[in-house]
Amino acid sequence: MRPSSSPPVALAAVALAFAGGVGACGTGGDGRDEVTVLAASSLTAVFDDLETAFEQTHPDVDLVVSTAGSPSLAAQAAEGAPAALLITADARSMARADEADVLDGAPRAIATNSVTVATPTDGADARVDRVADLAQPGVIVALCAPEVPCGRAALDFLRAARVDVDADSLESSVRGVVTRLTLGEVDAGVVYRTDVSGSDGDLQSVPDDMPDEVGAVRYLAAPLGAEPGGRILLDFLIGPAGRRILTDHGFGAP
Amino acid sequence: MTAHRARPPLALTVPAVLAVILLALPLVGLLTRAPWSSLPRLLTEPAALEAMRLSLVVASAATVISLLLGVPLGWVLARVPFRGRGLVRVVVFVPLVLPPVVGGTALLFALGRRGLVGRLLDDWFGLVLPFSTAGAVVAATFVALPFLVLTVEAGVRSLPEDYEEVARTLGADRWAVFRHVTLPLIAPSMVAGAALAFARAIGEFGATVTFAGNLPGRTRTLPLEIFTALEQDPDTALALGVVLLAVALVVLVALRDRLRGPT
Repeated sequence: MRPSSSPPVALAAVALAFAGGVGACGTGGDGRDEVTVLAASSLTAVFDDLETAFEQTHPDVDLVVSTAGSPSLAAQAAEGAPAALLITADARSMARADEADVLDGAPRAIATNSVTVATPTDGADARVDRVADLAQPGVIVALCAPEVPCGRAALDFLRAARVDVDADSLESSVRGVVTRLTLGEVDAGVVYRTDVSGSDGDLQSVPDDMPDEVGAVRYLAAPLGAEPGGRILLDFLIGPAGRRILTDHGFGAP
Repeated sequence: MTAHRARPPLALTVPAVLAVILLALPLVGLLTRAPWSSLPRLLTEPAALEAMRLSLVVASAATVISLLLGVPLGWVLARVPFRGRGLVRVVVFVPLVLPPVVGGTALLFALGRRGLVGRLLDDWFGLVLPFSTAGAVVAATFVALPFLVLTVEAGVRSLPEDYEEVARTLGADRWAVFRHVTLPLIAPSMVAGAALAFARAIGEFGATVTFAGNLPGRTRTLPLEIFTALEQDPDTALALGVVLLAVALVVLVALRDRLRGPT
Protein backbone atom coordinates (compact mmCIF):
# COMPACT_ATOMS: atom_id res chain seq x y z
CA MET A 1 0.00 0.00 0.00
CA ARG A 2 1.38 3.33 -1.05
CA PRO A 3 0.86 6.22 1.31
CA SER A 4 -0.56 9.27 -0.38
CA SER A 5 -1.02 12.78 0.89
CA SER A 6 -2.35 14.76 -2.04
CA PRO A 7 -4.57 17.27 -0.22
CA PRO A 8 -1.92 18.66 2.16
CA VAL A 9 0.63 18.93 -0.65
CA ALA A 10 -1.91 20.72 -2.83
CA LEU A 11 -2.76 22.97 0.11
CA ALA A 12 0.91 23.71 0.62
CA ALA A 13 1.27 24.50 -3.08
CA VAL A 14 -1.62 26.94 -2.82
CA ALA A 15 0.00 28.65 0.14
CA LEU A 16 3.27 28.70 -1.79
CA ALA A 17 1.69 30.66 -4.56
CA PHE A 18 -0.06 32.88 -2.04
CA ALA A 19 3.14 33.91 -0.32
CA GLY A 20 3.73 36.88 -2.56
CA GLY A 21 3.44 40.56 -1.74
CA VAL A 22 0.78 42.99 -0.74
CA GLY A 23 -0.63 45.97 -2.54
CA ALA A 24 -3.39 48.47 -2.08
CA CYS A 25 -5.41 51.04 -3.88
CA GLY A 26 -8.42 53.07 -2.94
CA THR A 27 -10.65 55.99 -3.59
CA GLY A 28 -11.84 58.75 -1.32
CA GLY A 29 -15.08 58.05 0.45
CA ASP A 30 -15.92 61.40 1.99
CA GLY A 31 -16.81 63.30 -1.20
CA ARG A 32 -13.53 65.20 -1.41
CA ASP A 33 -11.51 65.01 -4.61
CA GLU A 34 -8.43 62.89 -4.29
CA VAL A 35 -5.20 64.45 -5.48
CA THR A 36 -2.33 62.00 -5.44
CA VAL A 37 1.28 63.10 -5.28
CA LEU A 38 4.19 60.75 -5.95
CA ALA A 39 6.89 62.15 -3.66
CA ALA A 40 10.53 61.18 -3.16
CA SER A 41 11.02 59.14 -0.02
CA SER A 42 12.95 61.91 1.78
CA LEU A 43 9.83 64.10 1.65
CA THR A 44 7.78 61.66 3.75
CA ALA A 45 7.96 63.66 6.99
CA VAL A 46 7.56 67.14 5.53
CA PHE A 47 4.48 66.01 3.60
CA ASP A 48 2.68 65.37 6.90
CA ASP A 49 2.73 69.14 7.44
CA LEU A 50 2.36 70.06 3.76
CA GLU A 51 -0.73 67.85 3.52
CA THR A 52 -2.37 69.46 6.54
CA ALA A 53 -1.67 72.99 5.29
CA PHE A 54 -2.75 72.23 1.74
CA GLU A 55 -5.99 70.60 2.80
CA GLN A 56 -6.75 73.58 5.07
CA THR A 57 -6.54 75.96 2.13
CA HIS A 58 -8.24 73.47 -0.22
CA PRO A 59 -11.01 71.89 1.88
CA ASP A 60 -12.48 70.07 -1.13
CA VAL A 61 -9.25 68.15 -1.72
CA ASP A 62 -7.99 64.98 -0.08
CA LEU A 63 -4.25 64.91 -0.67
CA VAL A 64 -2.89 61.37 -0.99
CA VAL A 65 0.87 61.07 -0.58
CA SER A 66 2.65 58.07 -2.06
CA THR A 67 6.37 57.92 -1.29
CA ALA A 68 9.14 55.72 -2.68
CA GLY A 69 12.61 56.03 -4.15
CA SER A 70 12.65 58.48 -7.07
CA PRO A 71 13.33 55.84 -9.78
CA SER A 72 10.34 53.81 -8.52
CA LEU A 73 8.14 56.86 -8.71
CA ALA A 74 9.37 57.70 -12.21
CA ALA A 75 8.65 54.13 -13.28
CA GLN A 76 5.16 54.34 -11.77
CA ALA A 77 4.49 57.66 -13.49
CA ALA A 78 5.83 56.29 -16.78
CA GLU A 79 3.42 53.35 -16.50
CA GLY A 80 0.58 55.86 -16.18
CA ALA A 81 0.02 55.78 -12.41
CA PRO A 82 -3.12 57.79 -11.52
CA ALA A 83 -1.36 60.72 -9.84
CA ALA A 84 -1.38 64.50 -10.29
CA LEU A 85 2.15 65.49 -9.33
CA LEU A 86 5.54 63.80 -9.47
CA ILE A 87 8.38 64.95 -7.20
CA THR A 88 11.78 63.34 -7.63
CA ALA A 89 15.05 64.06 -5.86
CA ASP A 90 17.02 63.97 -9.10
CA ALA A 91 16.84 65.14 -12.69
CA ARG A 92 17.54 61.63 -14.01
CA SER A 93 14.30 60.14 -12.72
CA MET A 94 12.33 63.16 -13.89
CA ALA A 95 13.87 62.78 -17.36
CA ARG A 96 12.68 59.17 -17.47
CA ALA A 97 9.12 60.24 -16.76
CA ASP A 98 9.50 62.98 -19.38
CA GLU A 99 10.69 60.45 -21.98
CA ALA A 100 7.54 58.43 -21.32
CA ASP A 101 5.57 61.57 -22.23
CA VAL A 102 3.47 61.60 -19.06
CA LEU A 103 4.40 65.09 -17.79
CA ASP A 104 1.93 67.94 -18.17
CA GLY A 105 4.24 70.93 -17.97
CA ALA A 106 7.91 71.59 -17.31
CA PRO A 107 9.50 70.37 -14.04
CA ARG A 108 10.18 73.08 -11.42
CA ALA A 109 12.78 72.96 -8.67
CA ILE A 110 11.04 73.13 -5.28
CA ALA A 111 13.80 72.55 -2.72
CA THR A 112 17.30 71.25 -2.08
CA ASN A 113 18.80 68.89 0.46
CA SER A 114 22.18 67.35 1.22
CA VAL A 115 23.45 64.21 2.84
CA THR A 116 25.23 63.62 6.11
CA VAL A 117 26.59 60.67 8.05
CA ALA A 118 24.11 59.76 10.78
CA THR A 119 24.25 57.43 13.77
CA PRO A 120 21.60 56.23 16.24
CA THR A 121 21.50 58.63 19.21
CA ASP A 122 21.04 55.95 21.85
CA GLY A 123 24.51 54.61 21.26
CA ALA A 124 25.60 52.66 18.25
CA ASP A 125 27.45 49.43 18.97
CA ALA A 126 30.57 50.75 17.25
CA ARG A 127 31.87 54.27 17.90
CA VAL A 128 31.46 56.51 14.89
CA ASP A 129 32.66 60.04 15.67
CA ARG A 130 34.14 61.02 12.36
CA VAL A 131 33.27 60.34 8.74
CA ALA A 132 36.50 58.34 8.43
CA ASP A 133 35.23 55.86 11.06
CA LEU A 134 32.88 54.44 8.41
CA ALA A 135 35.83 52.71 6.80
CA GLN A 136 36.79 50.84 9.96
CA PRO A 137 36.26 47.10 10.01
CA GLY A 138 33.34 46.01 12.15
CA VAL A 139 31.36 49.19 11.59
CA ILE A 140 28.02 48.20 10.05
CA VAL A 141 26.94 50.76 7.45
CA ALA A 142 23.76 51.16 5.40
CA LEU A 143 23.69 53.35 2.31
CA CYS A 144 21.09 54.08 -0.32
CA ALA A 145 21.57 51.98 -3.46
CA PRO A 146 23.44 53.88 -6.19
CA GLU A 147 20.26 53.67 -8.29
CA VAL A 148 18.46 56.19 -6.05
CA PRO A 149 19.42 59.88 -5.64
CA CYS A 150 20.50 59.56 -2.00
CA GLY A 151 22.83 56.73 -3.02
CA ARG A 152 24.55 58.84 -5.64
CA ALA A 153 24.73 61.76 -3.23
CA ALA A 154 26.25 59.46 -0.60
CA LEU A 155 28.90 58.26 -3.05
CA ASP A 156 29.70 61.90 -3.94
CA PHE A 157 30.00 62.76 -0.29
CA LEU A 158 32.17 59.79 0.66
CA ARG A 159 34.40 60.27 -2.37
CA ALA A 160 34.91 63.93 -1.47
CA ALA A 161 35.69 62.89 2.11
CA ARG A 162 38.13 60.28 0.75
CA VAL A 163 36.53 57.53 2.77
CA ASP A 164 36.25 54.07 1.26
CA VAL A 165 33.14 52.37 2.66
CA ASP A 166 32.10 48.73 2.30
CA ALA A 167 28.36 49.05 2.85
CA ASP A 168 26.49 46.20 4.51
CA SER A 169 23.16 46.99 2.91
CA LEU A 170 22.05 49.09 -0.03
CA GLU A 171 18.52 50.32 0.53
CA SER A 172 16.07 51.19 -2.22
CA SER A 173 15.12 54.48 -0.57
CA VAL A 174 16.48 56.76 2.15
CA ARG A 175 13.65 55.68 4.46
CA GLY A 176 15.22 52.23 4.43
CA VAL A 177 18.50 53.63 5.78
CA VAL A 178 16.66 55.71 8.38
CA THR A 179 14.78 52.63 9.60
CA ARG A 180 17.98 50.57 9.91
CA LEU A 181 19.49 53.40 11.96
CA THR A 182 16.47 53.92 14.20
CA LEU A 183 16.27 50.20 14.94
CA GLY A 184 19.98 50.20 15.77
CA GLU A 185 20.68 47.47 13.22
CA VAL A 186 23.49 49.53 11.69
CA ASP A 187 26.14 51.71 13.33
CA ALA A 188 26.00 54.45 10.74
CA GLY A 189 24.39 55.42 7.49
CA VAL A 190 24.32 58.25 5.00
CA VAL A 191 20.96 60.05 5.00
CA TYR A 192 19.67 63.54 4.25
CA ARG A 193 20.17 66.29 6.80
CA THR A 194 16.38 66.66 6.98
CA ASP A 195 16.13 63.00 8.02
CA VAL A 196 18.26 63.77 11.07
CA SER A 197 16.42 66.97 12.00
CA GLY A 198 13.08 65.21 11.50
CA SER A 199 13.95 62.11 13.52
CA ASP A 200 12.71 63.45 16.89
CA GLY A 201 16.21 63.02 18.25
CA ASP A 202 16.54 59.35 17.26
CA LEU A 203 19.40 60.16 14.91
CA GLN A 204 22.41 62.41 15.22
CA SER A 205 24.65 63.81 12.55
CA VAL A 206 28.38 63.12 12.48
CA PRO A 207 30.17 66.44 12.02
CA ASP A 208 31.98 67.00 8.75
CA ASP A 209 33.66 69.99 7.14
CA MET A 210 32.20 69.33 3.73
CA PRO A 211 30.78 72.24 1.71
CA ASP A 212 27.00 72.10 1.30
CA GLU A 213 27.09 71.41 -2.42
CA VAL A 214 28.85 68.09 -1.88
CA GLY A 215 26.22 65.37 -1.78
CA ALA A 216 23.44 67.84 -2.55
CA VAL A 217 20.21 67.00 -4.34
CA ARG A 218 17.53 69.16 -5.93
CA TYR A 219 13.87 68.19 -5.86
CA LEU A 220 12.00 68.62 -9.11
CA ALA A 221 8.21 68.62 -9.35
CA ALA A 222 6.09 68.27 -12.46
CA PRO A 223 2.33 67.90 -12.96
CA LEU A 224 1.28 64.59 -14.52
CA GLY A 225 -1.24 64.34 -17.32
CA ALA A 226 -2.98 61.40 -15.65
CA GLU A 227 -4.97 63.43 -13.10
CA PRO A 228 -5.94 67.08 -12.55
CA GLY A 229 -4.84 69.13 -9.54
CA GLY A 230 -1.10 68.84 -10.02
CA ARG A 231 -0.61 72.48 -10.95
CA ILE A 232 -2.52 73.73 -7.92
CA LEU A 233 -0.40 71.61 -5.62
CA LEU A 234 2.80 72.70 -7.37
CA ASP A 235 1.82 76.38 -6.99
CA PHE A 236 1.24 75.74 -3.31
CA LEU A 237 4.64 74.09 -2.88
CA ILE A 238 6.55 76.94 -4.53
CA GLY A 239 4.33 79.57 -2.91
CA PRO A 240 5.07 81.20 0.48
CA ALA A 241 3.15 78.66 2.60
CA GLY A 242 4.79 75.61 1.06
CA ARG A 243 8.18 77.31 1.03
CA ARG A 244 7.94 78.09 4.75
CA ILE A 245 7.06 74.51 5.71
CA LEU A 246 9.91 73.14 3.60
CA THR A 247 12.33 75.61 5.22
CA ASP A 248 11.07 74.70 8.70
CA HIS A 249 11.93 71.08 7.95
CA GLY A 250 15.46 72.04 6.96
CA PHE A 251 15.13 71.98 3.19
CA GLY A 252 17.15 74.50 1.24
CA ALA A 253 15.80 77.04 -1.25
CA PRO A 254 15.75 75.76 -4.84
CA MET B 1 -21.13 6.71 -14.34
CA THR B 2 -24.29 7.37 -16.35
CA ALA B 3 -24.34 7.64 -20.11
CA HIS B 4 -25.67 11.18 -20.37
CA ARG B 5 -23.87 13.67 -18.23
CA ALA B 6 -25.60 16.97 -17.46
CA ARG B 7 -23.77 20.11 -18.55
CA PRO B 8 -22.04 21.80 -15.63
CA PRO B 9 -23.97 24.92 -14.58
CA LEU B 10 -22.78 28.22 -16.07
CA ALA B 11 -22.87 29.77 -12.61
CA LEU B 12 -19.88 27.57 -11.82
CA THR B 13 -18.05 27.34 -15.12
CA VAL B 14 -17.92 31.10 -15.78
CA PRO B 15 -16.20 31.97 -12.44
CA ALA B 16 -13.98 28.93 -12.91
CA VAL B 17 -12.81 30.19 -16.30
CA LEU B 18 -12.29 33.69 -14.82
CA ALA B 19 -10.17 32.16 -12.07
CA VAL B 20 -7.96 30.42 -14.63
CA ILE B 21 -7.60 33.67 -16.60
CA LEU B 22 -6.70 35.59 -13.46
CA LEU B 23 -3.99 33.07 -12.65
CA ALA B 24 -2.64 32.58 -16.14
CA LEU B 25 -2.72 36.15 -17.47
CA PRO B 26 0.27 37.49 -15.48
CA LEU B 27 2.34 34.53 -16.65
CA VAL B 28 1.35 35.25 -20.25
CA GLY B 29 2.32 38.88 -19.63
CA LEU B 30 5.73 37.87 -18.33
CA LEU B 31 6.35 35.46 -21.18
CA THR B 32 5.28 37.85 -23.94
CA ARG B 33 7.32 40.77 -22.57
CA ALA B 34 10.38 38.63 -21.82
CA PRO B 35 13.39 39.61 -23.94
CA TRP B 36 13.92 36.14 -25.42
CA SER B 37 16.62 37.02 -27.93
CA SER B 38 18.84 38.75 -25.39
CA LEU B 39 18.10 36.20 -22.65
CA PRO B 40 21.52 34.45 -22.86
CA ARG B 41 23.34 37.77 -22.60
CA LEU B 42 21.16 39.13 -19.76
CA LEU B 43 21.44 35.93 -17.75
CA THR B 44 25.24 35.83 -18.00
CA GLU B 45 25.72 39.39 -16.76
CA PRO B 46 27.89 39.32 -13.60
CA ALA B 47 25.09 40.71 -11.40
CA ALA B 48 22.62 38.10 -12.66
CA LEU B 49 25.09 35.22 -12.22
CA GLU B 50 25.96 36.48 -8.75
CA ALA B 51 22.30 36.60 -7.75
CA MET B 52 21.61 33.13 -9.17
CA ARG B 53 24.61 31.66 -7.38
CA LEU B 54 23.56 33.29 -4.11
CA SER B 55 19.94 32.16 -4.50
CA LEU B 56 21.08 28.60 -5.13
CA VAL B 57 23.27 28.66 -2.00
CA VAL B 58 20.61 30.27 0.20
CA ALA B 59 17.71 28.09 -1.00
CA SER B 60 19.78 24.89 -0.74
CA ALA B 61 20.93 25.75 2.77
CA ALA B 62 17.36 26.60 3.80
CA THR B 63 16.15 23.28 2.36
CA VAL B 64 18.80 21.27 4.20
CA ILE B 65 18.02 23.02 7.50
CA SER B 66 14.31 22.50 6.87
CA LEU B 67 14.93 18.77 6.38
CA LEU B 68 17.05 18.48 9.53
CA LEU B 69 14.49 20.31 11.69
CA GLY B 70 11.27 19.72 9.78
CA VAL B 71 11.29 15.94 9.45
CA PRO B 72 11.54 15.43 13.23
CA LEU B 73 8.83 18.05 13.85
CA GLY B 74 6.56 16.50 11.22
CA TRP B 75 7.02 13.10 12.88
CA VAL B 76 6.36 14.49 16.37
CA LEU B 77 3.18 16.23 15.22
CA ALA B 78 1.94 13.04 13.57
CA ARG B 79 2.92 10.46 16.18
CA VAL B 80 3.28 12.06 19.61
CA PRO B 81 0.08 13.20 21.28
CA PHE B 82 0.88 16.07 23.66
CA ARG B 83 -0.81 19.07 25.17
CA GLY B 84 -0.42 22.12 22.94
CA ARG B 85 -0.04 20.15 19.73
CA GLY B 86 -2.72 22.32 18.14
CA LEU B 87 -0.81 25.42 19.19
CA VAL B 88 2.41 24.09 17.70
CA ARG B 89 0.60 23.39 14.45
CA VAL B 90 -0.67 26.99 14.40
CA VAL B 91 2.92 28.20 14.90
CA VAL B 92 3.95 26.07 11.92
CA PHE B 93 1.14 27.53 9.81
CA VAL B 94 1.83 31.18 10.66
CA PRO B 95 4.66 31.78 8.13
CA LEU B 96 2.38 30.44 5.39
CA VAL B 97 -0.23 33.13 5.88
CA LEU B 98 1.88 35.95 7.35
CA PRO B 99 3.04 38.57 4.83
CA PRO B 100 6.78 37.86 4.47
CA VAL B 101 7.63 41.49 5.25
CA VAL B 102 5.99 41.02 8.65
CA GLY B 103 7.99 37.83 9.06
CA GLY B 104 11.16 39.79 8.31
CA THR B 105 10.23 42.48 10.82
CA ALA B 106 9.53 39.82 13.44
CA LEU B 107 12.89 38.18 12.71
CA LEU B 108 14.54 41.58 13.14
CA PHE B 109 13.03 42.03 16.60
CA ALA B 110 14.00 38.49 17.57
CA LEU B 111 17.37 37.98 15.92
CA GLY B 112 18.43 41.53 14.97
CA ARG B 113 21.34 43.18 16.69
CA ARG B 114 19.04 44.63 19.34
CA GLY B 115 16.57 41.76 19.20
CA LEU B 116 15.53 39.44 21.99
CA VAL B 117 18.02 36.69 21.10
CA GLY B 118 20.09 38.57 18.54
CA ARG B 119 21.54 40.79 21.28
CA LEU B 120 22.85 37.70 23.08
CA LEU B 121 24.25 36.21 19.87
CA ASP B 122 26.14 39.47 19.31
CA ASP B 123 27.36 39.75 22.92
CA TRP B 124 28.41 36.13 23.32
CA PHE B 125 29.61 35.12 19.86
CA GLY B 126 29.92 38.42 17.97
CA LEU B 127 27.37 36.89 15.58
CA VAL B 128 25.25 39.43 13.69
CA LEU B 129 22.70 37.80 11.41
CA PRO B 130 21.24 40.82 9.57
CA PHE B 131 23.25 41.83 6.49
CA SER B 132 24.84 38.38 6.23
CA THR B 133 24.18 35.43 3.95
CA ALA B 134 23.38 33.47 7.12
CA GLY B 135 20.61 36.01 7.78
CA ALA B 136 19.22 35.43 4.29
CA VAL B 137 19.25 31.68 5.00
CA VAL B 138 17.37 32.25 8.28
CA ALA B 139 14.74 34.35 6.46
CA ALA B 140 14.35 31.74 3.72
CA THR B 141 14.15 28.90 6.27
CA PHE B 142 11.45 30.76 8.21
CA VAL B 143 9.15 30.78 5.18
CA ALA B 144 10.18 27.37 3.75
CA LEU B 145 10.18 25.16 6.84
CA PRO B 146 6.35 24.94 7.19
CA PHE B 147 6.05 23.36 3.73
CA LEU B 148 8.35 20.58 4.80
CA VAL B 149 6.80 20.05 8.22
CA LEU B 150 3.25 19.86 6.90
CA THR B 151 4.13 17.57 3.99
CA VAL B 152 6.10 15.21 6.23
CA GLU B 153 3.41 15.23 8.90
CA ALA B 154 0.81 14.24 6.31
CA GLY B 155 3.17 11.56 5.01
CA VAL B 156 3.68 10.03 8.47
CA ARG B 157 -0.04 10.19 9.25
CA SER B 158 -0.92 8.32 6.09
CA LEU B 159 1.35 5.42 7.13
CA PRO B 160 -0.57 2.62 8.80
CA GLU B 161 0.89 2.28 12.28
CA ASP B 162 1.00 -1.51 11.78
CA TYR B 163 4.50 -1.44 10.27
CA GLU B 164 5.91 0.50 13.16
CA GLU B 165 4.08 -1.67 15.72
CA VAL B 166 5.36 -4.86 14.15
CA ALA B 167 8.89 -3.51 14.25
CA ARG B 168 8.44 -2.55 17.88
CA THR B 169 7.12 -6.00 18.89
CA LEU B 170 10.22 -7.42 17.22
CA GLY B 171 12.26 -5.49 19.78
CA ALA B 172 13.27 -2.33 17.96
CA ASP B 173 13.23 0.88 20.01
CA ARG B 174 11.40 3.94 18.71
CA TRP B 175 14.49 5.53 17.22
CA ALA B 176 15.37 2.35 15.36
CA VAL B 177 11.78 2.07 14.13
CA PHE B 178 11.92 5.66 12.90
CA ARG B 179 15.21 5.15 11.11
CA HIS B 180 14.61 1.77 9.54
CA VAL B 181 10.85 1.71 9.01
CA THR B 182 9.29 5.18 9.05
CA LEU B 183 12.02 7.13 7.31
CA PRO B 184 12.22 4.95 4.18
CA LEU B 185 8.43 4.91 3.91
CA ILE B 186 8.08 8.70 4.11
CA ALA B 187 10.92 9.34 1.66
CA PRO B 188 8.46 10.46 -1.06
CA SER B 189 6.90 12.98 1.35
CA MET B 190 10.34 14.25 2.29
CA VAL B 191 11.27 14.74 -1.36
CA ALA B 192 7.99 16.53 -2.06
CA GLY B 193 8.33 18.68 1.05
CA ALA B 194 11.94 19.52 0.23
CA ALA B 195 11.00 20.52 -3.32
CA LEU B 196 8.22 22.81 -2.09
CA ALA B 197 10.50 24.26 0.58
CA PHE B 198 13.21 24.89 -2.01
CA ALA B 199 10.74 26.58 -4.36
CA ARG B 200 9.46 28.80 -1.56
CA ALA B 201 12.99 29.61 -0.36
CA ILE B 202 14.29 30.57 -3.80
CA GLY B 203 11.38 32.96 -4.28
CA GLU B 204 11.67 34.57 -0.86
CA PHE B 205 11.73 38.38 -0.96
CA GLY B 206 9.94 40.25 1.81
CA ALA B 207 11.50 38.64 4.86
CA THR B 208 14.94 38.72 3.23
CA VAL B 209 14.95 42.39 2.27
CA THR B 210 13.56 43.36 5.68
CA PHE B 211 15.76 41.16 7.83
CA ALA B 212 18.92 40.55 5.81
CA GLY B 213 19.17 43.74 3.77
CA ASN B 214 20.13 44.06 0.13
CA LEU B 215 23.80 43.72 -0.82
CA PRO B 216 25.11 42.14 -4.03
CA GLY B 217 26.85 38.82 -3.41
CA ARG B 218 25.83 38.65 0.23
CA THR B 219 22.08 39.03 0.56
CA ARG B 220 20.83 40.13 -2.88
CA THR B 221 19.15 36.93 -4.03
CA LEU B 222 17.25 36.59 -7.33
CA PRO B 223 14.02 38.23 -6.15
CA LEU B 224 15.96 41.16 -4.66
CA GLU B 225 17.98 41.48 -7.87
CA ILE B 226 14.70 41.54 -9.81
CA PHE B 227 13.33 44.20 -7.46
CA THR B 228 16.49 46.29 -7.85
CA ALA B 229 16.71 45.80 -11.63
CA LEU B 230 13.04 46.47 -12.33
CA GLU B 231 13.40 50.25 -12.20
CA GLN B 232 16.73 50.50 -14.02
CA ASP B 233 16.71 47.63 -16.41
CA PRO B 234 13.30 45.94 -16.81
CA ASP B 235 14.70 43.46 -19.36
CA THR B 236 17.04 41.96 -16.77
CA ALA B 237 14.18 41.79 -14.29
CA LEU B 238 12.02 39.97 -16.85
CA ALA B 239 14.83 37.57 -17.77
CA LEU B 240 15.41 36.67 -14.11
CA GLY B 241 11.64 36.36 -13.67
CA VAL B 242 11.65 33.73 -16.41
CA VAL B 243 14.36 31.84 -14.50
CA LEU B 244 12.26 31.78 -11.32
CA LEU B 245 9.17 30.75 -13.27
CA ALA B 246 11.18 27.91 -14.81
CA VAL B 247 12.30 26.77 -11.34
CA ALA B 248 8.68 26.81 -10.16
CA LEU B 249 7.56 24.79 -13.20
CA VAL B 250 10.33 22.21 -12.72
CA VAL B 251 9.23 21.72 -9.11
CA LEU B 252 5.58 21.42 -10.08
CA VAL B 253 6.31 18.96 -12.89
CA ALA B 254 8.46 16.91 -10.53
CA LEU B 255 5.59 16.79 -8.06
CA ARG B 256 2.85 16.35 -10.65
CA ASP B 257 1.76 12.94 -9.38
CA ARG B 258 1.34 14.24 -5.86
CA LEU B 259 -0.41 17.43 -6.92
CA ARG B 260 -2.92 15.68 -9.13
CA GLY B 261 -6.25 15.59 -7.40
CA PRO B 262 -8.43 12.48 -7.42
CA THR B 263 -9.90 11.91 -10.87
